Amino acid sequence: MNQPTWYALTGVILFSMGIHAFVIRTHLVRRILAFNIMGSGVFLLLVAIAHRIPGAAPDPVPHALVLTGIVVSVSFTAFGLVLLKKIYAKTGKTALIDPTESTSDQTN
Amino acid sequence: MTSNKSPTTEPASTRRPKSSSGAAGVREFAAEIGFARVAFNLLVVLLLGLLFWTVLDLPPQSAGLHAKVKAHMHVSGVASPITAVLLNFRGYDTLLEIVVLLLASIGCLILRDAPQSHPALAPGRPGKWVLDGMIHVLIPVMLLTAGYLLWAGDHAPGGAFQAGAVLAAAGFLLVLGNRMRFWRTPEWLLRLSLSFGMIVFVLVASVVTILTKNLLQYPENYAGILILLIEISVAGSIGCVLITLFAGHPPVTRTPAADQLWHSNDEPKE
Repeated sequence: MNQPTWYALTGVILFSMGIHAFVIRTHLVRRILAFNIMGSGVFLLLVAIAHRIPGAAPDPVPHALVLTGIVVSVSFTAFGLVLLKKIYAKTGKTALIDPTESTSDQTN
Repeated sequence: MTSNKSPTTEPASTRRPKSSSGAAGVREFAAEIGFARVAFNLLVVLLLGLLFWTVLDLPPQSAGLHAKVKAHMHVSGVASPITAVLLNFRGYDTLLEIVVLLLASIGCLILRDAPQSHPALAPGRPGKWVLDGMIHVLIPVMLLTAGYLLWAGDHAPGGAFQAGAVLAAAGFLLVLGNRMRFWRTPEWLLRLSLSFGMIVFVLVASVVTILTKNLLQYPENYAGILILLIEISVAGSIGCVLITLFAGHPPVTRTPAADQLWHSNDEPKE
Protein backbone atom coordinates (compact mmCIF):
# COMPACT_ATOMS: atom_id res chain seq x y z
CA MET A 1 0.00 0.00 0.00
CA ASN A 2 1.78 3.08 -1.19
CA GLN A 3 0.68 6.68 -0.82
CA PRO A 4 -1.29 7.02 -4.09
CA THR A 5 -3.31 3.92 -3.18
CA TRP A 6 -4.39 5.56 0.08
CA TYR A 7 -5.48 8.65 -1.84
CA ALA A 8 -7.33 6.51 -4.37
CA LEU A 9 -9.18 4.64 -1.61
CA THR A 10 -10.09 7.96 0.03
CA GLY A 11 -11.48 9.05 -3.32
CA VAL A 12 -13.58 5.88 -3.50
CA ILE A 13 -14.94 6.50 0.02
CA LEU A 14 -15.83 10.11 -0.89
CA PHE A 15 -17.61 8.90 -4.02
CA SER A 16 -19.65 6.33 -2.08
CA MET A 17 -20.56 8.87 0.61
CA GLY A 18 -21.64 11.26 -2.10
CA ILE A 19 -23.81 8.75 -3.93
CA HIS A 20 -25.42 7.71 -0.64
CA ALA A 21 -26.30 11.27 0.31
CA PHE A 22 -27.43 12.05 -3.22
CA VAL A 23 -30.12 9.38 -3.08
CA ILE A 24 -31.10 9.54 0.61
CA ARG A 25 -31.33 13.31 1.11
CA THR A 26 -34.16 15.27 -0.41
CA HIS A 27 -33.07 18.86 0.21
CA LEU A 28 -31.74 20.08 -3.13
CA VAL A 29 -28.78 21.94 -1.63
CA ARG A 30 -27.71 18.68 -0.01
CA ARG A 31 -28.09 16.91 -3.34
CA ILE A 32 -25.92 19.50 -5.09
CA LEU A 33 -23.32 19.19 -2.31
CA ALA A 34 -23.49 15.39 -2.55
CA PHE A 35 -22.92 15.58 -6.28
CA ASN A 36 -19.86 17.75 -5.70
CA ILE A 37 -18.50 15.31 -3.12
CA MET A 38 -18.95 12.48 -5.63
CA GLY A 39 -17.04 14.56 -8.17
CA SER A 40 -14.25 15.35 -5.72
CA GLY A 41 -13.90 11.64 -5.01
CA VAL A 42 -13.50 10.92 -8.71
CA PHE A 43 -10.95 13.72 -9.10
CA LEU A 44 -8.94 12.44 -6.14
CA LEU A 45 -9.01 8.91 -7.57
CA LEU A 46 -7.86 10.09 -11.02
CA VAL A 47 -5.05 12.23 -9.64
CA ALA A 48 -3.92 9.38 -7.39
CA ILE A 49 -3.86 6.66 -10.02
CA ALA A 50 -1.94 8.97 -12.36
CA HIS A 51 0.97 8.83 -9.93
CA ARG A 52 1.79 5.15 -9.60
CA ILE A 53 5.54 5.19 -10.20
CA PRO A 54 7.35 6.76 -7.25
CA GLY A 55 9.67 9.57 -8.27
CA ALA A 56 8.61 9.63 -11.91
CA ALA A 57 6.46 12.39 -13.41
CA PRO A 58 2.74 11.61 -13.19
CA ASP A 59 0.63 10.64 -16.19
CA PRO A 60 -0.57 13.99 -17.61
CA VAL A 61 -3.74 12.63 -19.24
CA PRO A 62 -5.79 12.03 -16.04
CA HIS A 63 -4.53 15.38 -14.71
CA ALA A 64 -5.86 17.15 -17.79
CA LEU A 65 -9.17 15.28 -17.39
CA VAL A 66 -9.44 16.44 -13.77
CA LEU A 67 -8.70 20.03 -14.75
CA THR A 68 -11.52 19.87 -17.30
CA GLY A 69 -13.81 18.18 -14.79
CA ILE A 70 -13.26 20.80 -12.09
CA VAL A 71 -14.26 23.65 -14.39
CA VAL A 72 -17.36 21.79 -15.59
CA SER A 73 -18.42 20.87 -12.05
CA VAL A 74 -17.99 24.46 -10.82
CA SER A 75 -20.09 25.88 -13.64
CA PHE A 76 -22.82 23.29 -13.31
CA THR A 77 -22.94 23.64 -9.53
CA ALA A 78 -23.66 27.30 -10.16
CA PHE A 79 -26.33 26.42 -12.73
CA GLY A 80 -27.88 23.91 -10.31
CA LEU A 81 -28.05 26.55 -7.60
CA VAL A 82 -29.71 28.97 -10.01
CA LEU A 83 -32.31 26.33 -10.86
CA LEU A 84 -32.84 25.64 -7.16
CA LYS A 85 -33.35 29.36 -6.51
CA LYS A 86 -35.95 29.41 -9.25
CA ILE A 87 -37.74 26.29 -7.93
CA TYR A 88 -37.78 27.85 -4.47
CA ALA A 89 -39.15 31.14 -5.79
CA LYS A 90 -41.89 29.44 -7.80
CA THR A 91 -43.02 26.66 -5.46
CA GLY A 92 -41.66 27.66 -2.04
CA LYS A 93 -40.04 24.24 -1.77
CA THR A 94 -36.42 23.17 -1.49
CA ALA A 95 -37.03 19.59 -2.52
CA LEU A 96 -38.62 17.94 -5.50
CA ILE A 97 -40.73 15.70 -3.25
CA ASP A 98 -42.56 16.75 -0.12
CA PRO A 99 -40.51 15.32 2.76
CA THR A 100 -43.47 15.34 5.16
CA GLU A 101 -45.23 12.86 2.89
CA SER A 102 -42.47 10.30 3.00
CA THR A 103 -40.16 9.27 5.81
CA SER A 104 -40.90 10.01 9.42
CA ASP A 105 -37.50 8.74 10.53
CA GLN A 106 -35.60 11.20 8.37
CA THR A 107 -32.63 12.60 10.20
CA ASN A 108 -31.02 15.01 7.77
CA MET B 1 -36.94 40.41 -5.81
CA THR B 2 -38.16 36.89 -5.35
CA SER B 3 -37.57 36.59 -1.64
CA ASN B 4 -40.23 39.09 -0.62
CA LYS B 5 -42.92 37.13 -2.35
CA SER B 6 -45.08 35.36 0.19
CA PRO B 7 -44.82 31.59 -0.11
CA THR B 8 -47.65 29.99 -2.04
CA THR B 9 -47.73 26.79 -0.02
CA GLU B 10 -48.89 26.48 3.54
CA PRO B 11 -46.20 26.41 6.24
CA ALA B 12 -44.53 23.06 6.85
CA SER B 13 -45.93 22.71 10.35
CA THR B 14 -49.50 22.43 9.15
CA ARG B 15 -48.73 19.85 6.51
CA ARG B 16 -49.48 16.25 7.39
CA PRO B 17 -48.74 12.99 5.68
CA LYS B 18 -51.50 12.46 3.18
CA SER B 19 -52.02 8.81 3.97
CA SER B 20 -55.72 8.05 4.12
CA SER B 21 -55.61 5.31 6.75
CA GLY B 22 -54.31 7.60 9.51
CA ALA B 23 -51.45 6.84 11.92
CA ALA B 24 -51.19 3.14 11.11
CA GLY B 25 -50.82 3.90 7.42
CA VAL B 26 -48.05 6.38 8.17
CA ARG B 27 -46.18 3.81 10.27
CA GLU B 28 -46.56 1.22 7.54
CA PHE B 29 -45.28 3.66 4.95
CA ALA B 30 -42.33 4.60 7.16
CA ALA B 31 -41.46 0.94 7.64
CA GLU B 32 -41.57 0.45 3.92
CA ILE B 33 -39.28 3.44 3.31
CA GLY B 34 -37.05 2.20 6.15
CA PHE B 35 -36.65 -1.13 4.38
CA ALA B 36 -35.78 0.63 1.11
CA ARG B 37 -33.21 2.65 3.02
CA VAL B 38 -31.54 -0.35 4.57
CA ALA B 39 -31.45 -2.05 1.18
CA PHE B 40 -29.89 1.05 -0.37
CA ASN B 41 -27.30 1.35 2.41
CA LEU B 42 -26.29 -2.24 1.76
CA LEU B 43 -26.05 -1.49 -1.94
CA VAL B 44 -23.72 1.46 -1.27
CA VAL B 45 -21.54 -0.69 1.01
CA LEU B 46 -21.43 -3.28 -1.76
CA LEU B 47 -20.42 -0.61 -4.27
CA LEU B 48 -17.74 0.65 -1.88
CA GLY B 49 -16.34 -2.84 -1.51
CA LEU B 50 -16.35 -3.37 -5.26
CA LEU B 51 -14.55 -0.07 -5.87
CA PHE B 52 -12.00 -0.86 -3.12
CA TRP B 53 -11.33 -4.18 -4.75
CA THR B 54 -10.94 -2.51 -8.16
CA VAL B 55 -8.48 0.08 -6.85
CA LEU B 56 -6.42 -2.52 -4.99
CA ASP B 57 -6.48 -4.77 -8.05
CA LEU B 58 -4.89 -2.11 -10.28
CA PRO B 59 -1.29 -2.82 -11.31
CA PRO B 60 0.80 -1.15 -8.59
CA GLN B 61 3.24 0.38 -11.05
CA SER B 62 1.97 1.92 -14.24
CA ALA B 63 3.10 4.97 -16.16
CA GLY B 64 -0.21 5.13 -18.04
CA LEU B 65 0.01 7.27 -21.14
CA HIS B 66 3.01 9.20 -19.84
CA ALA B 67 5.49 7.64 -22.27
CA LYS B 68 3.20 8.24 -25.23
CA VAL B 69 2.74 11.90 -24.31
CA LYS B 70 6.48 12.32 -23.77
CA ALA B 71 7.23 10.83 -27.19
CA HIS B 72 5.03 13.43 -28.89
CA MET B 73 5.99 16.47 -26.83
CA HIS B 74 8.22 17.86 -29.59
CA VAL B 75 5.26 18.36 -31.93
CA SER B 76 2.93 19.81 -29.28
CA GLY B 77 4.27 23.37 -29.36
CA VAL B 78 4.46 23.65 -25.57
CA ALA B 79 6.77 22.27 -22.88
CA SER B 80 4.23 21.35 -20.19
CA PRO B 81 2.76 17.87 -20.71
CA ILE B 82 -0.57 18.80 -19.11
CA THR B 83 -1.01 21.82 -21.38
CA ALA B 84 -0.02 19.66 -24.35
CA VAL B 85 -2.75 17.14 -23.48
CA LEU B 86 -5.34 19.83 -22.75
CA LEU B 87 -4.91 21.99 -25.81
CA ASN B 88 -3.24 19.78 -28.36
CA PHE B 89 -3.59 16.00 -27.95
CA ARG B 90 -7.04 16.19 -26.38
CA GLY B 91 -8.00 19.66 -27.63
CA TYR B 92 -11.42 18.29 -28.55
CA ASP B 93 -12.28 17.80 -24.85
CA THR B 94 -11.28 21.33 -24.03
CA LEU B 95 -13.29 22.74 -26.92
CA LEU B 96 -16.40 20.93 -25.67
CA GLU B 97 -15.66 22.08 -22.14
CA ILE B 98 -15.74 25.70 -23.29
CA VAL B 99 -19.11 24.98 -24.89
CA VAL B 100 -20.37 23.51 -21.59
CA LEU B 101 -19.23 26.62 -19.72
CA LEU B 102 -20.98 28.82 -22.23
CA LEU B 103 -24.17 26.76 -21.86
CA ALA B 104 -24.06 27.07 -18.05
CA SER B 105 -23.71 30.85 -18.27
CA ILE B 106 -26.51 31.07 -20.86
CA GLY B 107 -28.70 28.99 -18.56
CA CYS B 108 -28.01 31.36 -15.68
CA LEU B 109 -28.73 34.40 -17.80
CA ILE B 110 -32.02 32.96 -19.07
CA LEU B 111 -33.22 32.39 -15.51
CA ARG B 112 -32.10 35.73 -14.12
CA ASP B 113 -34.46 37.94 -12.22
CA ALA B 114 -34.99 41.66 -12.69
CA PRO B 115 -31.71 43.60 -12.73
CA GLN B 116 -30.50 44.65 -9.32
CA SER B 117 -27.26 45.45 -7.61
CA HIS B 118 -25.54 42.83 -5.50
CA PRO B 119 -27.03 43.15 -2.01
CA ALA B 120 -24.19 41.36 -0.26
CA LEU B 121 -22.37 44.63 0.37
CA ALA B 122 -24.53 47.68 0.14
CA PRO B 123 -22.73 51.06 0.10
CA GLY B 124 -22.04 52.40 3.57
CA ARG B 125 -22.09 49.03 5.21
CA PRO B 126 -19.45 48.57 7.95
CA GLY B 127 -16.37 46.83 6.68
CA LYS B 128 -16.55 48.47 3.32
CA TRP B 129 -13.28 50.31 3.94
CA VAL B 130 -11.46 47.03 4.36
CA LEU B 131 -12.95 45.80 1.10
CA ASP B 132 -12.05 49.03 -0.68
CA GLY B 133 -8.48 48.86 0.58
CA MET B 134 -8.23 45.22 -0.41
CA ILE B 135 -9.51 45.96 -3.89
CA HIS B 136 -6.86 48.64 -4.37
CA VAL B 137 -4.06 46.35 -3.21
CA LEU B 138 -5.21 43.03 -4.63
CA ILE B 139 -6.63 43.75 -8.08
CA PRO B 140 -3.28 44.68 -9.71
CA VAL B 141 -1.60 41.70 -8.05
CA MET B 142 -4.38 39.39 -9.23
CA LEU B 143 -4.15 40.63 -12.80
CA LEU B 144 -0.39 40.09 -12.68
CA THR B 145 -0.89 36.59 -11.26
CA ALA B 146 -3.41 35.75 -13.99
CA GLY B 147 -0.93 36.91 -16.64
CA TYR B 148 1.86 34.89 -15.03
CA LEU B 149 -0.28 31.73 -14.86
CA LEU B 150 -1.19 32.12 -18.51
CA TRP B 151 2.46 32.44 -19.45
CA ALA B 152 3.59 29.66 -17.12
CA GLY B 153 1.11 27.22 -18.68
CA ASP B 154 3.57 26.75 -21.52
CA HIS B 155 6.17 24.97 -19.40
CA ALA B 156 4.83 24.48 -15.85
CA PRO B 157 1.51 23.97 -14.05
CA GLY B 158 -0.75 26.83 -15.07
CA GLY B 159 -2.70 27.85 -18.13
CA ALA B 160 -6.01 29.23 -19.29
CA PHE B 161 -8.21 27.73 -16.57
CA GLN B 162 -6.08 28.81 -13.66
CA ALA B 163 -5.67 32.29 -15.14
CA GLY B 164 -9.41 32.50 -15.81
CA ALA B 165 -10.18 31.51 -12.21
CA VAL B 166 -7.91 34.26 -10.85
CA LEU B 167 -9.49 36.79 -13.23
CA ALA B 168 -12.92 35.70 -12.00
CA ALA B 169 -11.85 36.12 -8.36
CA ALA B 170 -10.75 39.67 -9.16
CA GLY B 171 -14.14 40.20 -10.79
CA PHE B 172 -15.97 38.90 -7.68
CA LEU B 173 -14.11 41.45 -5.55
CA LEU B 174 -15.07 44.24 -7.97
CA VAL B 175 -18.72 43.15 -7.95
CA LEU B 176 -18.81 42.93 -4.15
CA GLY B 177 -17.16 46.35 -3.86
CA ASN B 178 -19.70 47.83 -6.26
CA ARG B 179 -16.90 48.72 -8.69
CA MET B 180 -18.27 46.54 -11.44
CA ARG B 181 -21.94 47.13 -12.25
CA PHE B 182 -22.65 43.77 -13.76
CA TRP B 183 -26.22 44.67 -14.68
CA ARG B 184 -25.13 47.72 -16.62
CA THR B 185 -22.94 45.70 -18.96
CA PRO B 186 -24.29 46.22 -22.48
CA GLU B 187 -25.89 43.05 -23.82
CA TRP B 188 -23.61 42.79 -26.86
CA LEU B 189 -20.49 43.14 -24.70
CA LEU B 190 -21.70 40.45 -22.31
CA ARG B 191 -22.47 38.06 -25.15
CA LEU B 192 -19.18 38.73 -26.89
CA SER B 193 -17.07 38.30 -23.75
CA LEU B 194 -18.82 35.06 -22.80
CA SER B 195 -18.45 33.49 -26.22
CA PHE B 196 -15.13 34.99 -27.32
CA GLY B 197 -13.07 32.01 -26.16
CA MET B 198 -15.29 29.55 -27.96
CA ILE B 199 -15.37 31.65 -31.15
CA VAL B 200 -11.57 31.84 -31.30
CA PHE B 201 -11.22 28.13 -30.49
CA VAL B 202 -13.74 27.12 -33.17
CA LEU B 203 -12.12 29.43 -35.73
CA VAL B 204 -8.67 27.98 -35.05
CA ALA B 205 -10.09 24.45 -35.11
CA SER B 206 -11.83 25.05 -38.46
CA VAL B 207 -8.78 26.61 -40.08
CA VAL B 208 -6.35 23.88 -38.95
CA THR B 209 -8.85 21.19 -39.87
CA ILE B 210 -9.03 22.55 -43.43
CA LEU B 211 -5.23 22.92 -43.60
CA THR B 212 -4.18 19.56 -42.14
CA LYS B 213 -7.30 17.50 -43.01
CA ASN B 214 -7.44 16.34 -39.37
CA LEU B 215 -9.68 17.72 -36.64
CA LEU B 216 -7.69 20.02 -34.33
CA GLN B 217 -4.29 18.93 -35.60
CA TYR B 218 -2.14 22.03 -35.49
CA PRO B 219 0.62 22.52 -38.07
CA GLU B 220 3.82 21.73 -36.18
CA ASN B 221 5.47 25.12 -36.63
CA TYR B 222 2.43 27.11 -35.55
CA ALA B 223 1.25 24.91 -32.67
CA GLY B 224 2.85 27.09 -29.97
CA ILE B 225 1.41 30.39 -31.18
CA LEU B 226 -2.03 28.89 -31.87
CA ILE B 227 -2.19 27.38 -28.37
CA LEU B 228 -1.18 30.74 -26.88
CA LEU B 229 -3.90 32.50 -28.90
CA ILE B 230 -6.53 30.01 -27.73
CA GLU B 231 -5.32 30.17 -24.12
CA ILE B 232 -5.51 33.97 -23.93
CA SER B 233 -9.03 34.17 -25.34
CA VAL B 234 -10.28 31.17 -23.35
CA ALA B 235 -8.85 32.57 -20.08
CA GLY B 236 -10.74 35.81 -20.64
CA SER B 237 -13.98 34.01 -21.44
CA ILE B 238 -13.68 31.65 -18.45
CA GLY B 239 -13.23 34.68 -16.20
CA CYS B 240 -16.35 36.29 -17.70
CA VAL B 241 -18.40 33.07 -17.43
CA LEU B 242 -17.51 32.63 -13.76
CA ILE B 243 -18.31 36.29 -13.00
CA THR B 244 -21.66 35.86 -14.76
CA LEU B 245 -22.44 32.74 -12.73
CA PHE B 246 -21.61 34.66 -9.55
CA ALA B 247 -23.11 38.08 -10.24
CA GLY B 248 -25.98 37.04 -12.49
CA HIS B 249 -27.89 35.68 -9.50
CA PRO B 250 -27.47 37.72 -6.34
CA PRO B 251 -28.27 35.80 -3.15
CA VAL B 252 -31.79 35.82 -1.77
CA THR B 253 -32.26 38.37 0.98
CA ARG B 254 -32.96 36.54 4.23
CA THR B 255 -36.21 37.03 6.09
CA PRO B 256 -37.41 34.96 9.08
CA ALA B 257 -40.30 33.53 7.05
CA ALA B 258 -38.01 32.53 4.19
CA ASP B 259 -35.57 30.95 6.64
CA GLN B 260 -38.28 28.86 8.23
CA LEU B 261 -39.51 27.67 4.87
CA TRP B 262 -35.98 26.99 3.68
CA HIS B 263 -35.29 24.67 6.62
CA SER B 264 -38.68 23.00 6.46
CA ASN B 265 -37.13 20.14 4.50
CA ASP B 266 -34.46 19.62 7.12
CA GLU B 267 -36.65 18.68 10.03
CA PRO B 268 -39.96 17.23 8.95
CA LYS B 269 -42.63 18.11 11.48
CA GLU B 270 -44.76 15.38 12.91
